[in-house]
Amino acid sequence: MTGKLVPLRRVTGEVTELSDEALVAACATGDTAALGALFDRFNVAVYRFVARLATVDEAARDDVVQATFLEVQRCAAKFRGGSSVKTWILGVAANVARRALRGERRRRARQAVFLVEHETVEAVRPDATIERRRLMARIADALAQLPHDQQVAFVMCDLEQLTGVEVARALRIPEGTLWRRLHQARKAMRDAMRTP
Amino acid sequence: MSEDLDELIALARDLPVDVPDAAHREEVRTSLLARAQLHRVPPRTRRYVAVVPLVAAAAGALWIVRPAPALSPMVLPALPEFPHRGHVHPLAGAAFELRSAVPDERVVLHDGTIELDVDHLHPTERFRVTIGASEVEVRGTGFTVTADHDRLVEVRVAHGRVEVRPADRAQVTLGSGDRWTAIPVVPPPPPPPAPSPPRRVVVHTPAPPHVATADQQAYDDGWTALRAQHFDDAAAAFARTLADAPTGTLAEDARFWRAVALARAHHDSAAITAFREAIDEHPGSSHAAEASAMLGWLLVDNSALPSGSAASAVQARLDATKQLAEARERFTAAADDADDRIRSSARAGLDALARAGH
Repeated sequence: MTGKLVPLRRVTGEVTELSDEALVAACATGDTAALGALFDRFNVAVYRFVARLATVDEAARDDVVQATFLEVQRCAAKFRGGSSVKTWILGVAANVARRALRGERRRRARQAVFLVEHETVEAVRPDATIERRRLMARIADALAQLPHDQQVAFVMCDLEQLTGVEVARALRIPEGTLWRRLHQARKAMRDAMRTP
Repeated sequence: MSEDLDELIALARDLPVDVPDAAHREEVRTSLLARAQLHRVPPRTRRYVAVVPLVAAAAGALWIVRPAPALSPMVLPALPEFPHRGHVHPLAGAAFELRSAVPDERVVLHDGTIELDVDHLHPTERFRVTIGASEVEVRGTGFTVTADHDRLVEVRVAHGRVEVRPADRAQVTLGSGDRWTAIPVVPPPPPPPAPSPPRRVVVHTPAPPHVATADQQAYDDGWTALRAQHFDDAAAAFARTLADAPTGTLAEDARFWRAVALARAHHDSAAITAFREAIDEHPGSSHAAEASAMLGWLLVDNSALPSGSAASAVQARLDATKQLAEARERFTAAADDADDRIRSSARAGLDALARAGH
């Protein structure tokens, strides 16, 4: 595993005209320029998606986004076109985020003693914002309480508005499993909002 | 879908989503491509895999998704554990490997030059570059390492601090702007110069002789103790570093890490004083923003407690108000730092103060 030259140049010319699927195919050959082009097209979508997953904290987002695109490169040959490239990449991001969550838990446990514990400070400070902000905070909190798989289902289907069939294919789960997760997520969100 | 669920989803879509700015994403892109190069399928397999997809790519818009050929039985390199603290930018021709990830990240450089940007390391984390039997260890910095056939040739430090441990010489710590080069392997020929076989490694600048000084030893002891989570010992060792060389090259880092050690040991008052001293003495330090954010939180955490010198509740309240005002200043100083972690912490501090009406 030896690097000789890294093409840090942005892709120009006809490569940028390739379809998303063609870029994935080029990526499967190890074409780093194609990977760069995929990053250019979808990095904002991946950042948005990852930012919505409460299981990924802010400090880990860059790493999750990078790992997602590395995984895209590694798995590009397995892309079958069962969903749009965007949905497929978000599915990859969801799986990477799950692994990041495990790694992050271990890392946090190791480093807990080094962290400045400011959460308690925030908790005791009165929040004097208007009702909407409190409601938003409750929604964010309810979302954060969901298990990772339910968060992914809720974010991909309800927030990103991707079709269930594509999401199920991208996550490599049966459609029924996706709908069950989504149902559980919606129910948990509603229950959390009803709790005074 | 019921009405209340629709409303809930609509509100959830409005939740703020923090996407980094274009410049930051460009940095991530650059780093990604450097890493991608490390994870590329080796040439033999690449040629095997490439044929069908490249033909498909040439078909442009008429490209039809088809089953890709199976990969060869060769095992693809596994993804590294993340997060990584170091970003490797190889210059053309550099040959290197990524051997391990956080908390002990190691890059092996065989040939050529790589530039590295390393994020702030936690005390339990290490980042090393290995060249043959030599080693360069980072203390949180940006630097360049050059090798020739598994032999360390040169280290240049752009900012921060780096510890160089050559295979055949004593270790040396470099600061911002410092440069280390290998001692010439072959002494200059006596006049008249006899023709000698050309060597690729020709070094003109001999490095100064290095002997581990008392402050260096104390500094290393401090790091060892910090990694072992012996915070009182670490604070004492860093204090010795400062006592031995209060204006030495290690003073800046020693002041910062002493403050960190005191904070971790829950000696809050001493840590507050130490952070103030670190910031005042080294306002341009690469640790300044992090120190400011940490000091801000220490001040906030301690603002609710009556100070020992307060003679009355009124005095205690005045002290707390003063502390919170300073906390605001400290958070503000770090609120625009380039490091996401520091910036977020400082902004969270400012938010907490705002909610508390300060």
